[in-house]
Amino acid sequence: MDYEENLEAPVWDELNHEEDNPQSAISNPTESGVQLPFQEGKRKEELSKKKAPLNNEINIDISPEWKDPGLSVAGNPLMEEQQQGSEELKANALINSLAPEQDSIADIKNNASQFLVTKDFGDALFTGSANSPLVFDDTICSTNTSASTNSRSISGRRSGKPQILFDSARAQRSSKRIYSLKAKKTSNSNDATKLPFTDPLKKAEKENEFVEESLDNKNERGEINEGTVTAFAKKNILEQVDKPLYNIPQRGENSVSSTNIETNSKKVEELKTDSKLPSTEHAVDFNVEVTNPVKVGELTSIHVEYTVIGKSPLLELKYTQVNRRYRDFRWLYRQLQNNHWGKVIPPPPEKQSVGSFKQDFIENRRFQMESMLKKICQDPALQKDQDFLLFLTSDDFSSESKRRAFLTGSGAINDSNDLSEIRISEIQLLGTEDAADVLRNGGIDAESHKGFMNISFSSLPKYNEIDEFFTEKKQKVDELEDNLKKLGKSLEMVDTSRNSLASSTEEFSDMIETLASLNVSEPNSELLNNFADVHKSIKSSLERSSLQETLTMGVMLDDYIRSLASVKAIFNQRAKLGYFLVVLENDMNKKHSQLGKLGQNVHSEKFIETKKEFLTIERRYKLTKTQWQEIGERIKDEFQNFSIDKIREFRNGMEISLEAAIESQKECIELWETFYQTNL
Amino acid sequence: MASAVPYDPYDDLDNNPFAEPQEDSEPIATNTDGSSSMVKEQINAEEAIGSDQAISTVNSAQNENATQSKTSSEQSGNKQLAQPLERDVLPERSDEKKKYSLLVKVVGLERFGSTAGKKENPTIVFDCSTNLPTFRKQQYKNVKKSYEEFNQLFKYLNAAIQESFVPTLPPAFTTFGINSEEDRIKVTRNFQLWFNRVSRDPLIIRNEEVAFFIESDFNTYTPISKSKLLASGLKRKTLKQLAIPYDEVTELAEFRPLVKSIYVVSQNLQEKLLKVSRNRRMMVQEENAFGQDFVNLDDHNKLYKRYGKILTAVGDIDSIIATMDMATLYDGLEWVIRDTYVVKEALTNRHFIMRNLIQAQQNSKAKQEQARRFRSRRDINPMKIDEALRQLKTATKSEQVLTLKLQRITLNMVIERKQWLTWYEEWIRNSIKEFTLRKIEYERKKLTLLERVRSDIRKADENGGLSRLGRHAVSVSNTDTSQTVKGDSWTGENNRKSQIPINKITHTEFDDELFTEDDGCTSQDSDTTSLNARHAASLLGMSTK
Repeated sequence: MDYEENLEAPVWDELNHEEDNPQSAISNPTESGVQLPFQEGKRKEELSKKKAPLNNEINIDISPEWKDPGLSVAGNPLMEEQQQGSEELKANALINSLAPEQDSIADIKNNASQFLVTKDFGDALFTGSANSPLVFDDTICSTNTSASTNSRSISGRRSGKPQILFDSARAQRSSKRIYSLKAKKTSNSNDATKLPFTDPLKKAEKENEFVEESLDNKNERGEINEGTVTAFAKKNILEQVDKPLYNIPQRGENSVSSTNIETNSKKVEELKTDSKLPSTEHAVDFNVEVTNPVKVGELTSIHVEYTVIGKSPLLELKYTQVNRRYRDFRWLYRQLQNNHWGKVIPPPPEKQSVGSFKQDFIENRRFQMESMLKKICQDPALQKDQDFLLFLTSDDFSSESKRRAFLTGSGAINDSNDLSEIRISEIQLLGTEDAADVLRNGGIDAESHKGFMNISFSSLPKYNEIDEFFTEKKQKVDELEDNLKKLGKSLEMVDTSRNSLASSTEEFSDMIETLASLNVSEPNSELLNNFADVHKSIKSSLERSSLQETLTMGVMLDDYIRSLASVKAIFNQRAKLGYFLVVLENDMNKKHSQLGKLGQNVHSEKFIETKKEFLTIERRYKLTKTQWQEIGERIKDEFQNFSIDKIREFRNGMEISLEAAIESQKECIELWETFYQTNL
Repeated sequence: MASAVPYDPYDDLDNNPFAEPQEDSEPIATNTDGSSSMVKEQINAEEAIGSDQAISTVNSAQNENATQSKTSSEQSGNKQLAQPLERDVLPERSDEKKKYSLLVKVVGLERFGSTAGKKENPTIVFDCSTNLPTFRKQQYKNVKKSYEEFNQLFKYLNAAIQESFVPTLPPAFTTFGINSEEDRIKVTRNFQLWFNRVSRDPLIIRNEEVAFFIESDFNTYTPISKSKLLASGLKRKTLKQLAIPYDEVTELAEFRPLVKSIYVVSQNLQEKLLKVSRNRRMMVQEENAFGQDFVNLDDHNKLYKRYGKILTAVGDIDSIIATMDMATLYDGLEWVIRDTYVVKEALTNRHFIMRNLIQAQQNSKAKQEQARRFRSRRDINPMKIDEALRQLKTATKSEQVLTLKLQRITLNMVIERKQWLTWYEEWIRNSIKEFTLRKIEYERKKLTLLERVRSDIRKADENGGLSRLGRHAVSVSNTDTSQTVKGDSWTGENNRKSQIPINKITHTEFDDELFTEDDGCTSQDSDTTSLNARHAASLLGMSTK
């Protein structure tokens, strides 16, 4: 029975992990953007009744998590019991039917030949995992074709197996699904064609599960929040303690855990202060990773692709994994910029044509893109953006992205180098139909260009910012950008000079060693050797602190500068809208006077047509005006938040780099003191 | 045969001057008692084993000529100070009671004149007391000598006393900058060390030029007797190319390559150190620029200003460190380089003498051969015989002179070699020690500066930065420093204390500059900053050098 043990133990253990997911869902008390499932109504009362048991269930589930994964057979029944118990809570009547179901699985496993079992079992689990049908297909293919993806298949199995058990329990409840599940299990076949049938169901179920909990949260929000808040406080402390001091990158977003902390602390704050802005959406837990840069393509089309992994309840399948290249991140930036006027979009890294395949460049870029995505994830508005979700999920990204860009008129495909340059989409501004009309005529400002060739001295209408907030702030931002760039430059210089100091220190230390090797006398050689060693340590300490500096200050400055470009972009948006506004106003006035001239002949065709044109332009004008005003308000808000955030970030950066400097200073003193004590 | 006899009063069977110059143990045996007894007196400070070795090797070098030493020392003895003639080739060293001594105390350093003169040619003021008969008085007060005069003396001594490694003069100035107090102290101390080394060498102090030097008026000294190096210029260069003659004294044979490597490596080391220092200066520039950019970042933000200023000050301290590196180790190596060069050349001179001796030996052998030929013939012109005998006599005599000279040189150098090595070790050690102490001092100051701004940043944002890492513990108070009288907060060892007094560390040269607009800190620091002001000014002036 050893064999079965091996199989069962991890499975049941993983079950607990699976059970964890609901818990984390619970931890999101402010889950709001979740659609209610079809079974919602049916379960609502039942669940609210069983609120407390549910909580218990969670508590119970946490403890097994700490148990050794290699549990003995004796342990298994216990867990089984628990599992059954939890099922019981959800569907009392199913206990009996559940047990046979389990047995049948075990039987099948035992009956199958050993070879088959390992393989097929894994595949069967796959069918269960089914987080995303697409990814799933991929993995199946890869397991069949290559052995290298075994690890992935294992991961699939982990989440998959419990899922099956779960599903099977459910399946009995809604007995129509039994057929497909059983068929799969009994046949033990690696039949990929059946997967699509089962997947949607499971997906739905997953959602159900998930929503159940979030519903509870809504029902008894206050209660739970208190619990979760304290739980998270504990978690925070734990995480903080565990965290290495200097591993922490600049921003909290860089590490998943700190992201959680931040969002949680935000929640806590809000709860405490009894939030005045109930309308503000809360960010749902959203984890993104950018990993595994791979060079793809031939000569001309060579580029680096990064694997983007997203995990969030917001995603249809909770988990997604796609390959994206740098260009796609630019697209995302432009697209978000277009979708959210007046919002500071986390910027992607700058373009760089030379040396873009060097290892540390790629790593740096990867890091920057990851932090970009992480920031997007944290923003409650941006994380739900459909283009962002498309970015995370789409399989045929190159064509879909083009389509989206065309649909929204964002111009994200013809991306300019400058992050602060923007394009105002007529579609977004005027609505689809009118925009089509406008675009046919060559854009909003086309009218003013008309006749431009004939009357060259008719000056273009110029937009003057009336709100001095914008002019002032814009100037300030420009100034700040300049200063920051200078700062970044000199930081770079410090870095290079520090590195050259380090290398010359090494040479120096080598030379001391040579002197020591002359062996004038024993103590002399020893002294010199130790002296050389100290210099070596100093050298590595120098290099480390230089690296540290680039990782903290450098990255932060870089990010700051790019964000400023993003800020400038929103100012530009306002300016552009303002410009449109002026153009339209001009046109409107023209039409109005035209109308006035035709005023006697109210029923003439010309009058009617002009009137129509006038009305369209008036409508456009009004639309643009509201947009212009709105964007102004939003920018003011956004700018305020931005500066506060950035200043805080900047201070953090300063503090961290200062602390690093202090630490390395201490190290340096310690080295010399030790040398002094032992040798002199 | 008759011609050779008068020169060999202790002649025994094997010690035929016409015999092949081969290793012979008997003459050693006959002479050991005499020479070893004298050696015991002469080098009481040296280790017994080393000296015994030295003597045995000397004796083997003497070999066939050992017995002639007595007669030859009669001639050289005239120049020497009424010492028992037959006792020693090195009578100066056998001065049992350290009868003659020269005590010098350097009391000051003056720099005046043109800018170049100030730097290159300082005047050293010293007191002197001696019992050497070459001096007219016993006490000399406030003797002033310019560096140039010292240099003349050194040149003379180096050429005249081939037996010794004459200590080279220390550099006339240090990297501290000629205007600083540190420089004055350092140069004075270096000259004191030089005098100590010189007066420890009996051969040098007995040289009458030393007396002339001290007794002459300020800025008037030039060597009275002339001396010339054995070979100089192109001749020396050519001679150096020749193969080194076989050296029985392994200590000295190995010593020259060693010294030469020290010379070369030290030079390289100096170069590297210079590079380190230069790179550090470059870094300082960048650090200052960085700090300045921080200051300019936002006109209204005090925090950035302060942080930037601290960064600049840290950069300035780095610049001081660069200077200190140079002033301690670079200058230290400078003396080593100068000294190794002189030692190396002195050893080369010994080689020349060895080569001359070999030539003289060959010459006298040829002459003896000639004399023997004459003797075997019947029909000889008595004139020719006289001529031959005279030639033989001069040849033998010059050989004896050279032999004695080489003996003296070898014996003395073996002694001095040890002294020199001790000096070298001690000097390097001191340089490194000084280097380390300075390093510690300024690195600590850097730390102090950095920790000073820490609380400001902390105050600015209570919830940011490290508090996210659970570092609430960082106190907000301004007095939070990790270096206290009780030791360093970061080490576990309580008993370990820094060598540098804490109040020196906690106040940096830049305090007054940093806190000009910050009243809170100045009031608290004012007493010490005023004390430090002069020091700070001198350091500041120098750091830009």
